[in-house]
Amino acid sequence: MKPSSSAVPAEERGASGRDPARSVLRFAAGIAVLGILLLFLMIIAFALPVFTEQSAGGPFSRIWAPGQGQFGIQAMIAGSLVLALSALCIGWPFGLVLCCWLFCPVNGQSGFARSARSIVGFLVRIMTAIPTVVYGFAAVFLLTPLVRETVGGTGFCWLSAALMLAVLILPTIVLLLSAGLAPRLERLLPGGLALGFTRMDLMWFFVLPEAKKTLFSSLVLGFGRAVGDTLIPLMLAGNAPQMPYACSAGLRTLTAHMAMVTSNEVGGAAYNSLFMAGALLLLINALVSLCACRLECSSRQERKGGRR
Amino acid sequence: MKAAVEMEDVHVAFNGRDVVRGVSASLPDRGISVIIGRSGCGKTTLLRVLNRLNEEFPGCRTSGRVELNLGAGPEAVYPAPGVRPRPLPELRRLVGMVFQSPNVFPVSVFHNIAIPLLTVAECPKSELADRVRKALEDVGLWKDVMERLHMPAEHLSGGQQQRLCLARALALEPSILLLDEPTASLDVHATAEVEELLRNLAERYPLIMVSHSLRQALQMGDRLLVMENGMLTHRLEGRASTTERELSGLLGVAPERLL
Ligand SMILES: Nc1ncnc2c1ncn2[C@@H]1O[C@H](COP(=O)(O)OP(=O)(O)O)[C@@H](O)[C@H]1O
Ligand SMILES: [Mg+2]
Repeated sequence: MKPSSSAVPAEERGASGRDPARSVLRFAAGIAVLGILLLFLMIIAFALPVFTEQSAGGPFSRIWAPGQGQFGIQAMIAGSLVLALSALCIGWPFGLVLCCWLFCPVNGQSGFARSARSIVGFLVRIMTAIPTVVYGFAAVFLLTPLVRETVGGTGFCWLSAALMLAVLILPTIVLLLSAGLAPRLERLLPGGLALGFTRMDLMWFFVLPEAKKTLFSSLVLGFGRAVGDTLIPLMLAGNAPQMPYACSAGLRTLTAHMAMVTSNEVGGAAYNSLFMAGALLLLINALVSLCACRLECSSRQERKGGRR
Repeated sequence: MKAAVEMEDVHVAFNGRDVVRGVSASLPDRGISVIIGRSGCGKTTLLRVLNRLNEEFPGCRTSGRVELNLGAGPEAVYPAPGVRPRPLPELRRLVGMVFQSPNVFPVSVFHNIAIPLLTVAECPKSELADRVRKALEDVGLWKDVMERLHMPAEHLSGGQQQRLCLARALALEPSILLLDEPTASLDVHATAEVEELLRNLAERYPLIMVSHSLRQALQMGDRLLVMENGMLTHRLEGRASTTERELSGLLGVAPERLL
């Protein structure tokens, strides 16, 4: 940054300093950075004492029973991870298959298949704009009775939440994958087709094996999205503060836990463990973003190096 | 001589705009047929009629009769009432095509040939190594790469890559080879190598080549087809009876302005 700014002639620098749009932008960026820093500072400051004073019912114990002075959030940590991973296990393969299907039309197919493709592609794009609460609300009425009938229980359980979370992260995964895979496939056309390959063959033999980074970063970002979502687990997972043990049983995630406790209790020891939960979520998401950033950077370099 | 290609009143339109308009031609099953014409006159599109590659682009309509001899006598390539042509992958295996710029796959030299062989030609695994080797020998690349078969194909030089593309097409045992300006992206030396190779291949396969250079067309072509505005306007049989100047006269351009 420094050398380039010193290379700018003095008048120009003065002019850009007076430019109102530029100073507004700088101000906004400064505020945002400051806000993030403060957020980190505050959460860490509040979470630190919890680390140091190791009492019996502290946040790292197993049981959440605020009435008895037990503030363990182990079950919620497990709930968050288990739910996000299971949503990913359902959503990611489905997203990959969907992405391949969208980009690999078979020549000579009927007009119906072609319009189905464009409609589905359009829907996926639309899906990113639907508020989460709408998914949750629809699932309460449509999905939970179905789950109740098939696996028993109340229907507000791990399975319902995982299915709905999978739907929620699907467009993210499809869009990320298609941004990474479609240009690679495009580069193999029409030469690959002229050899007698179908688009699906090209995808399978030449695109996917070379696109491990794209695949992995869609996995990472899908996980981040699933771990961070609050409303779906809050509305569908049953929220029992217990270790997840069966797909028909309820579980509680860190996010849902924070939402519930903050809306019910004011202050007190319960809040301490909330800061812990917040710090953990922040940590997980920071790790995920960092991971995604590194993947993005290295895959961009890879693409640059690979092109000639 | 039997005909390898029979076209009758072939039209191709992209989004309602005619690009190839009423081409009829019969090409014999040996030797090099060279198509020349100004850039944008529809040469590539005409080549892609033969392996039905135009259909992969949106908004394309092809009409007319196209018959190829793919080893079992003339057969219709496009569906028509009462005609069930070969499936596309099979047609394209039998009609090899090499493009203007080398388009090797981003895998090793070996896999560039082996994957099409396994997938498209369903070659048994036991024959794989031999057929890869034979294909590479056919294009004179074996000596260069025999110790580097598992190196990324993109590390080869331009001329080597183009020969690898030829080897890849030859490995599938085609009946016809289509070449779309195969030397346009190569330097003088690599061009000479590929031209030499094509001359040898012409004894075994019917070659249909689009050329960007009059010199090449005159030196290599056993017959020249001059294309203008989507139509075949002239056909010259036999070699060396024409000069570059006459040819450019036919095209209506100065030789250096051909492309
Ligand atoms: N996939 C396509 N979609 C639309 N138009 C095309 C397509 N391919 C070729 N054309 C058009 O057809 C004309 C002839 O193209 P082409 O056959 O590539 O010419 P040439 O190979 O003789 O230079 C051009 O005007 C080009 O714009
Ligand atoms: Mg062309």
